[in-house]
Amino acid sequence: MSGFQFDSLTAWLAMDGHGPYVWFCVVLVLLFFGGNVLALRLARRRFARDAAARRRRADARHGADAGHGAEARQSAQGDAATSAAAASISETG
Amino acid sequence: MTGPWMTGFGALAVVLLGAGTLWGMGFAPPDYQQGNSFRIIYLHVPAAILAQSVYLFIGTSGVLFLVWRMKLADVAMQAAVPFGMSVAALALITGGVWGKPTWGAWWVWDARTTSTLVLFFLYFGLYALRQSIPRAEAAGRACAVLAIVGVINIPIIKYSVDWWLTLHQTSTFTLTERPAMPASMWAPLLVNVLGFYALFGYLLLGRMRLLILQREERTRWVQEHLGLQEAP
Repeated sequence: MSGFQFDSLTAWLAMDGHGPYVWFCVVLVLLFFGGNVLALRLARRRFARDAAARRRRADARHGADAGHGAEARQSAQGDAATSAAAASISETG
Repeated sequence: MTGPWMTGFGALAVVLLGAGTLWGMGFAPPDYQQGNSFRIIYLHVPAAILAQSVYLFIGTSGVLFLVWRMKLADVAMQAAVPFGMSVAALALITGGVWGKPTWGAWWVWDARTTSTLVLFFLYFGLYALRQSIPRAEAAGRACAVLAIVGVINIPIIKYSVDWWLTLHQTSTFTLTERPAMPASMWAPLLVNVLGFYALFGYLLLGRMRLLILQREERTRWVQEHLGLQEAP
């Protein structure tokens, strides 16, 4: 492997006038890849939240059908479910 | 089960991309004609290679889905599109930025740049088509057909530099010949290509897992996995 090709950090950044072209590409790749990873993480979190909300609504509907004022109980269970879903999906990656 | 694989691919991507980029940007020798603008090769070529191989992966998944009705192939096809579109866009943009100091123009209607632009539009088409059809099965079939038809563009991109008179240099890596550049130049390029593949592996697995959970949300095992229902 050849050694470091530049005399100083300034020379490395300038790259004999080609620095803006080269470093723009580096930053762009970082942004694109960071964006891809971040988008995946956000989508995972959103899905966990939405799935828990859908489950809560379904349970509430079921509870209303069954009567006995189950709604309050379902709501409390729902909050716990949201946390559980978020924790479960983030634990697995 | 995908967890350890994702961790492995993620760690590998960080290490390879960090090492390859640092090596290419600081330690590889400059090109005797292009000077330091040549260092863009360490990002442009991996992006272009991945843009084509991800499309081939999507086309193969399309065949598996259409012929054998493998649901997982449809999931893989859908999961690969965002990364493929990203690397195709990166190949085009970094190519344009490299073109300015080298060719004197941000863009030329060169055979390879034009066919890569078509590849980007194919990715965009796959993404838009999937969004426009609400039924997953029908969307999968339509995307598979488009993906398979679009594969014709891959040999056009690959051989465009041989078939037509273009400004592009011929392929950096081939399976049969030694690279024309010295090892001190191509080694960091190879590291970055592998890093791009590792990142693709990470994102592909992550998106596939999310898509499977979304598609199977109503099933008991997903409800249990999400902690929304207790196992019997």
